[in-house]
Amino acid sequence: MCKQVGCIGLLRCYRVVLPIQFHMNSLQRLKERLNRLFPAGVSFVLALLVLVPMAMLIFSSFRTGRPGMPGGAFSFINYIEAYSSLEIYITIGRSLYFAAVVTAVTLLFGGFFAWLVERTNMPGRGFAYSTLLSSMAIPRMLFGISWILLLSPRIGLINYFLENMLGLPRFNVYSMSGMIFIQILSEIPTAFLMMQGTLRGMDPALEEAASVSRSNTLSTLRKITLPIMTPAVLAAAVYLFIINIEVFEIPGLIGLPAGITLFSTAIYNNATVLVPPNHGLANSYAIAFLLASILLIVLYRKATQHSERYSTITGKGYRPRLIDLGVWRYFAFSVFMIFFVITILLPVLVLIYASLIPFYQVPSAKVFARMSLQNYVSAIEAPWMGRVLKNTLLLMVVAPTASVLLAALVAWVVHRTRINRKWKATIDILSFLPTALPSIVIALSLLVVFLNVHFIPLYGTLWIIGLAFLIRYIPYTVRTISAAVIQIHKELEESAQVCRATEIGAFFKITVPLVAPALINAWIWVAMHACRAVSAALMLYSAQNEILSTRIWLIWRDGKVPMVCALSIMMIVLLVIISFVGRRIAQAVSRR
Amino acid sequence: MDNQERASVVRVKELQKKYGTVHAVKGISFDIKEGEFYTLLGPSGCGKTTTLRCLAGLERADGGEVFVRDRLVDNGRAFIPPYQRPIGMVFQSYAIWPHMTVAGNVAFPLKNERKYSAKEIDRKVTEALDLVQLTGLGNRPAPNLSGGQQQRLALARALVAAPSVLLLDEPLSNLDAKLREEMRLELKNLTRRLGITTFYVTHDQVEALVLSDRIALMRDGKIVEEGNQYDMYMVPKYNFTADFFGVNNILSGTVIQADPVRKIAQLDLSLDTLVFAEIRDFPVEPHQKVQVAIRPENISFGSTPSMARTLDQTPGEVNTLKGVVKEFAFLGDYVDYRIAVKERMIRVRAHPEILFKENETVTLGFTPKHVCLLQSL
Repeated sequence: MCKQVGCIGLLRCYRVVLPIQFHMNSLQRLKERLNRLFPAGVSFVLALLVLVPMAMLIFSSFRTGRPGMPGGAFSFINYIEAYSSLEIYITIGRSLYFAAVVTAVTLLFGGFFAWLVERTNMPGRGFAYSTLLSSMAIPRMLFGISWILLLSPRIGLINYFLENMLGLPRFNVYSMSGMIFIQILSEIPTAFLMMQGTLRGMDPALEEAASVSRSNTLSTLRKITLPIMTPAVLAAAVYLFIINIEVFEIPGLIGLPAGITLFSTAIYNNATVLVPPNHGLANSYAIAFLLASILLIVLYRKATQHSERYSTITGKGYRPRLIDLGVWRYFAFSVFMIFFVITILLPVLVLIYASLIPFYQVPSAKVFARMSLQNYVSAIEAPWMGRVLKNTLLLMVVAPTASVLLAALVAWVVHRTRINRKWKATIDILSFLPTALPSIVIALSLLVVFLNVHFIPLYGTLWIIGLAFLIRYIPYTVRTISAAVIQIHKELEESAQVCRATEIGAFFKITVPLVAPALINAWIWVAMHACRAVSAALMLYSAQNEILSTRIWLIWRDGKVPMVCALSIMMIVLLVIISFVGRRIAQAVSRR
Repeated sequence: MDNQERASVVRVKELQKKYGTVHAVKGISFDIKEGEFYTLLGPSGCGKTTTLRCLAGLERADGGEVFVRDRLVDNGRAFIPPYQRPIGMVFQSYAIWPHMTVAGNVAFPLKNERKYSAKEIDRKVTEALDLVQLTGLGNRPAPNLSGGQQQRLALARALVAAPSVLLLDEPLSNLDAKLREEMRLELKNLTRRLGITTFYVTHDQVEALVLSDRIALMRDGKIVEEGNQYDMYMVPKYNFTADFFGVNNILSGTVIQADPVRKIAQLDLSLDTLVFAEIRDFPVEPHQKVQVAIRPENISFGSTPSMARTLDQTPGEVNTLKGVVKEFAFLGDYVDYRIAVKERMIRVRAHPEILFKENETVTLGFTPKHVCLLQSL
């Protein structure tokens, strides 16, 4: 950690230390010029990362033939081909329908849960909160797999019980409604967190003022609470909609076998599954996808800008009065118990169960008798295991390190150097733009870039996946680290300079220790996501750059359920260890 | 004043600073002598903090020259960074490093100088903490201090390395009223006792008056007027100065007669009689439009002319006006009256025992000395 930040300090120090000598020699003058160029350099790298893939995507969507191959021509043929068939319109309609339904339902549940946890006297609010939070720890791909194991028409355990115990018809998870159901379950915690933040940030005095103005609980909710929350709810809705439009795992696991393609799976299909791949078509899908995302991002920014005007945060730590639910509070709590069972207990249990048996089947005494760790043993002994593990761990170290370093540099340029406002605004937009770039689109564009650019041999390597993660997580890391740097009053660094510390000294001794927890947290977040995300890695897959998530996906395709489950449990354990150790380190650092 | 004989510690010549299109400091010059407490006073956004930051080296000047102890530290091209300047500074936010102990904060500048042994550092830190009455708190985590203690800590940290000049950027503005008054006095005693050259920036005229040997009043990036605290308050040269310090009656009118020999002018201020004023720094001629300032506390008043004895008992012209009490506010230590004299409203500050009711007729009295002729900006 210290090492990367040290580089920033070093560069930063040069900027001011060198120009001050009275009789500068030419070397120093050169260095000064370089240091003046440094903010420009950081901005340039950022622009390169964000804009080049997008430009390449647009460029090659107008080109026929395979990317990087000679003999292509420029035409609208890809667009004509894509948009003249009915299929794309069906895909668009289906994606919008999917995203709209999931967003609406998750918002409803998320909002309701947030209200229960924040504003009522429901028992076990701490348990409810940690249930919602920890259900997010299960990677979406594994969540999807576990629910297929529960609801698949052939092998699903719940279906077995439905039919044999209750005499009900089987539920076919390989359908639009199955996809929507599982996606809703996996997104409720996100919706909850966003709504909870809004509720928590609201000044209770606003509601109290209403209640002393002769307004009852219900009319206060209707006339005060909801209108104040509207911008934030809109923002949450747009954000969730973006997630649901770009989601790959659930549509890939359920929609692809069922023949129900959505946007993301259509791109995946055309670019990697089809032989030979139809990159032109995938590109024109991606462009449509991109335009839609950008539109949504603009909406999102509008919504959040508006919400700032409703700024509701106050310094006073008054907790709002809790609403008494009466007997209903036990009912409310049981909702969370059910949620805990279906989002954590059942998925994890079914994964553990399936990982211990030779082939997936309904539990019985005979099956339990044959349980063993054989699947784990064969996974560890598999010839690919060393490579996969090495790649995964390497990616989990390099991607977050690069990501945090880049974000720290960007935060430094924006908040600690004297660049003009327009420049700052440009960096701000650039670092927010990848939010509009779904992983699958980033992966596709990198594929196109490195199929064309041969002098940087990244195609098929692990680093192209790392690059995709780096780009994808720019918005998150920049936002987190910038927020931390802003918190550190500039005068803290300036006072160190006045106290005889050089800029490098001031940076090392003051700012780095103070933002270290944020740097570590951002690092862990990216590491966890690099481990669990599958879509980009799958798009950029080659025999050499296989990681744990792509290996799980591929052997799931081959139908080796017990092996998939053993690997899934290993992945979950890895994630739990990282988050536990990471949190400990962050705590230790911030307590210092 | 022996300003001429003493060596100057800080010399600023025609300092310029721009932020994009904003011209924050428009060529200001001043000289701070050894041991002097020099205050830059002005409304927010006048460029005073920018000037201080240029002095500290936290901003680079766009023009002009800054010398500290005859060493050129900034001329818009050549530049000495803050950590090579012999300065100590207290920031408005105190900028106490929260991840260090109290002693760690104070030791920081010494450790950076790399010429003291651990023992010496310990001794100097203890001395500095004693100086600001934080004795024995060295091992506390810095954030555990109260606001006033953080203030003292910041001061100790600024003083520990024995700087040539102490820079203070509105150090009292974050304290509550009572503590501010206490710290003001303490700061005064401390700087006088140490005899340290101090450069102080504030928007608070009371602070400036209490603390300073010399005050420079700034507006829009320029110094309007410079002088000792008595002159700045009692006999300002400019209307801006007269208005900035405390409450003042600023009236405009015309010169009727001017006697340069006796240094007395007669003015028409649209009051019930003409008013005598002392001619001081600049000549006036008949028919000239002028502004004058009359301090509320320099006007005495009573129900009859004889009761409105002026503060100054020396013989000569005396101004007496008749007015009607329009409003008054009892503030405890004084009564603030607003008295209508013809169309004008004059504010008078009276002892709390002098009580008049609304609409009572009163007589105001003041000497020409207290009618301060102003130049306008």
